[in-house]
Amino acid sequence: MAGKSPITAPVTLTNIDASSWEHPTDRAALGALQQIPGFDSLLKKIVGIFGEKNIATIYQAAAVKVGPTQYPTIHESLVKVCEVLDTDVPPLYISQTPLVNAGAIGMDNPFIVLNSSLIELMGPAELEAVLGHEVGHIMSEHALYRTLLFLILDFSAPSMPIVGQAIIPIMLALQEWSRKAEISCDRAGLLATQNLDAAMAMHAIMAGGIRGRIDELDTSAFVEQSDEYREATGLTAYYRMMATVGRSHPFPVIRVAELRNWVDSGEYAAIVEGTYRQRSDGRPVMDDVKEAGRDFSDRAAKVFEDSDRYVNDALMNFISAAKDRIDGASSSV
Amino acid sequence: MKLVKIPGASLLLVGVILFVLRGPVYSVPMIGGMLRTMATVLAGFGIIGGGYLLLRSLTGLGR
Repeated sequence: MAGKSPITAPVTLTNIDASSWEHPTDRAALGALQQIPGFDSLLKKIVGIFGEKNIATIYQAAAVKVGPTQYPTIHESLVKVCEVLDTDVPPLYISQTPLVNAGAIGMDNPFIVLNSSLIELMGPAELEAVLGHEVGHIMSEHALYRTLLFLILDFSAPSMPIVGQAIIPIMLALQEWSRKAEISCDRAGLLATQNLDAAMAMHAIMAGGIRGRIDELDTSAFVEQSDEYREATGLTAYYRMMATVGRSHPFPVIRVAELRNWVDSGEYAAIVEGTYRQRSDGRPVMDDVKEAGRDFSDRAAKVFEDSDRYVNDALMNFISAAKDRIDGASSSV
Repeated sequence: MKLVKIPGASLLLVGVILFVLRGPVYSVPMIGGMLRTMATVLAGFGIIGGGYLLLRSLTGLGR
């Protein structure tokens, strides 16, 4: 399989701000939430004391903490990824779990958890992409803002039945944000490794990697599969849309396509060459919101245009078939 | 060949037809409820999408 190791050493992105790689929708949502004064730091403290410490204690008790002497190669990979993204090295735990997954947990003192099965399947380059992805979640503080919003919804929805119904679009919007947050962190994973093959192979493995047969996976074939999925029209596109709306994570083929689109847009190359937002710059919230609006409107317009074309073709086929039938019937009379 | 030259008109037309058909399809035994839900969702999509494209082509909004 392609992408076992980067061709060149990745460039260090000194003082890079997470908003440099965040998807416009994710960036706008995060920027808007950061405008609520004091609420985020209060929530961080409350959840940090009552929820986070409890979870951290469980991992401390039941998982293996990675360090220079315990799984040193994985520790080296984490240190390397954090050096490239120019951020602090978070604690990393390995949990004995058969489900292939990884996660960034916590707000006050966030840490990363890798399931043992994931490490068994991933090569060193793909593992770095996973670590970069999780470090991206920490740098964007996704855990904090997701918790914040879900708490607001949980407290407001159940007590009032009408509000419960009205909140459905907000929940769908939150899922949309969650999907875009994943796309943001896929970009962080790519920047951390600067190896597109590895970043895409990671998704192929997550989608259907078999222990002992990873060498039989072909990233380019998975990319073709991703193109086929995206080119779906008509009713297939409708089913695709309906399958996506309630999910918190995008489908792996979509993630691969989004990653390629981002590279093709030139934004990735610009960041690697040194053009990115610095942490001291702050977030231009209004610009981010405008960009998110433009992005959403462009995507919606494309879906509507494709559907309009499909419906038009279907109607034309129906009319010409009906016409042929009428002509055939009148000639036989 | 375009059935109607105005962008979005086909989508809007189908959306309106599906909206009208919501009532009749409900009387189909066993699957009426499911058909009505599907017709409602597709009608909504057609009316919103077709309406958006139509408005955009007529007013230049969002260009």
